[in-house]
Amino acid sequence: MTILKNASKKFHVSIIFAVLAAALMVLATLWQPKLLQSIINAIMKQESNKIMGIGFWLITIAVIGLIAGVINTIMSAKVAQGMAAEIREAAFRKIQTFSFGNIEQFSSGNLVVRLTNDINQIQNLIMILLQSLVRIPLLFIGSFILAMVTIPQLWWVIILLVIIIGCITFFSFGVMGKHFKKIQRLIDKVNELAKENLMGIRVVKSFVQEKRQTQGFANTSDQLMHENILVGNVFSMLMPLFMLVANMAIVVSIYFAGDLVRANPYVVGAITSFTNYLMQIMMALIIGGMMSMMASRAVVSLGRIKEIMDTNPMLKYPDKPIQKLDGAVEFDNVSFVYPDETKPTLKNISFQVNPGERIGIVGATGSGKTTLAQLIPRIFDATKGIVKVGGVNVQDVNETSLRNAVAYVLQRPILFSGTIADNLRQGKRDANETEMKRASDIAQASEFIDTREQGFAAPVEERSSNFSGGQKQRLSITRGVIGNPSVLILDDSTSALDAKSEKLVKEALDKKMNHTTTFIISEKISSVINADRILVLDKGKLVGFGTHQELLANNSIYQEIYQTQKGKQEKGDQ
Amino acid sequence: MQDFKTAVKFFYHYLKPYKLFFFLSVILVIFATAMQVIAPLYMGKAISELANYAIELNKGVNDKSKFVHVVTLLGIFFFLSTCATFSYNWLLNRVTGYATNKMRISLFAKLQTLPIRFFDTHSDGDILSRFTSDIDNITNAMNEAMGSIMANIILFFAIIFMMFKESVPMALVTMSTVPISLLLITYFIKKHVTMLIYNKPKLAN
Repeated sequence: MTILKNASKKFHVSIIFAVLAAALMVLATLWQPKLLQSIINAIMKQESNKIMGIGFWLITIAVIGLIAGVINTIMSAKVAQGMAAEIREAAFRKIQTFSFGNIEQFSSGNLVVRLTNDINQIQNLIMILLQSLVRIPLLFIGSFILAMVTIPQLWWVIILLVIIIGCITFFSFGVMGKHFKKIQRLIDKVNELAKENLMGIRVVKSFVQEKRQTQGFANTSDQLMHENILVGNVFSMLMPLFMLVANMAIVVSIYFAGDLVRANPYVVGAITSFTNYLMQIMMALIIGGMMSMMASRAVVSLGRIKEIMDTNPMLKYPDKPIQKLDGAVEFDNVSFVYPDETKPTLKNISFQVNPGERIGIVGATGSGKTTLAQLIPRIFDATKGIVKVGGVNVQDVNETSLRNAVAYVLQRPILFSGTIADNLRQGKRDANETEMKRASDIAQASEFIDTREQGFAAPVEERSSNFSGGQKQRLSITRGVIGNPSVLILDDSTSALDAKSEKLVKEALDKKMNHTTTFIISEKISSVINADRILVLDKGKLVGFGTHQELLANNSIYQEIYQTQKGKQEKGDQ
Repeated sequence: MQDFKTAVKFFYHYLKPYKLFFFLSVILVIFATAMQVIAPLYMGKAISELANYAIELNKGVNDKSKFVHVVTLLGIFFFLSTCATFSYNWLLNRVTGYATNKMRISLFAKLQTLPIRFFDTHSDGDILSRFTSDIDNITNAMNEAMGSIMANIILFFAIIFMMFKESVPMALVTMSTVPISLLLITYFIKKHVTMLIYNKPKLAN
């Protein structure tokens, strides 16, 4: 509810207008049968001058009701759209503050559904609330009282109608609520299957899995169909049933009016407006029921948005002035445990690196190389111990300073659809052509960027499908070096490059970025052999730190890795 | 117009297996509509009979049989109309369910046969929204529209017929408002469709 309250701040005036218009609309609706009744009476008494007057009133009131209805709808739509936009923005802003851990906790697909589907539900709810929250109770109470006043002797017909319609609404919507949840889950599943299939279409095709995929999809789709038909059947019964009850109430009241006529002849004129009010009561109940059903769905959505808003980011950056950090990196007795895991991935790691050093990180798969590197740009916080960049604890610097100082080039290069320049400017927002050129020269990306007619303005398509694996990696490295960071981390970022390009990248880094501390993560010793010093990781522990020669001389794990890889290399060379 | 033809062909293909259901529901719709048109007449008759009865009462005659007869008929018409409406709703709901399910599965199967190049030149969001937004729209449209389009077309003509039968000048006056509402409706539908097209790409992203 606080979410709705916060979002409604800008819309108080529109909300008041919407509510007033709704009230006016009800008054107009309720007054009309009364005027019709007087017209009928006037016709019976043959007072033609009166007929004109009442007729004029009838039209005026109908027009007022119409205008009020239009105002109500416009205002409600405006408020609903506006508030939904506010909520979506607030939720999106909140998600931007989330750390990796937070996003893993929700899963990114789930967050997307919350931002789209759930916010739409909330938008519908606001719309319905503004259109009906005032109108329906007023309409119900008003027509109930007026029906009672018109023919008081038939009070029991009104009560019976209310009870029967109320029961049907209650039971059918109760049943449907359950199936709606099931349908929502099945729709999610259908989307998930279609999405998975699209993402993995290459795998599906290369392993000839088309039939199997279709079969799996058909099963889920069939389930969805059966649920849809079930709910549809309830619906197809519902409206006729409501109409039957209301019509029977009319038949019954006309029938019993026959008994009343003897004592009260006026009943003949009153029966028309009475049946009119009966219909209004029924409409109010049905709309009220539907409203509460939709509201209950929207309340679930509201809860899901609240969950986002109430989540505290796991990482917080202190509010400090921007500072320039140099390339010194220090780990002081650092241990790290992933959220939801008990076994530490890194254990008591300590080392110091000077600005401008080339550091290799080697170790078997799962030894903690990437985890260690992720602690430097503070993608995660160390569970124990202190990580320092430029001599300052990373928890004591603001986000911008740290991002400017540390660039991280991921194992799997991810480019966004747009242009090459768009992607490079993620590394440095105001990068100009010269800076882009310099960076792409270092990453050996110029050779293929230059062949494109538009150069840096060349488009990057979705999933960067218009670039090869090696090109993607080189663009990713370009993005890393463009901001001239104090610390550059290359996480296996040259794996898709041929040996020659890899060598050229390394040489360019040495020559043109010699003030930058560079971490090179690799499983291949050959990739780090020229580094100033090499960190050797084994099962989360730091087991060696020194030059290639030193390690080769006295580190058994390094020797082991080197021997196995050397064997392979020689075999490959033959 | 070309679009319309393709659409008709498309729906005809998916609805062909359910021809019999369709035929049945058309008959039911006609029946239900007839009942719907007749019922108000009998309601009017019932009230007139009530008035007659009141007048007769003043004259000292107490004969309710005519009035009761009309009220009973009214009840029967209402009941039959409900049964027919329920039946065609039920039939059409089944047809919609099966037909859209087939559309969804064949859409998926078709995707499996397309060359990789198709996926590189079409964005994922665009393809996905066909599974979600578009199939949903077809389901909703068929569920809500088919029955009511049929019923309303028949109702439209039936009501015009009845109005002319009751009073020609009043029917003419009412008919004269039809062009105005038609103009309004076309205007709003056009506006609505452009807004939808405008909103679609946003949803896909």
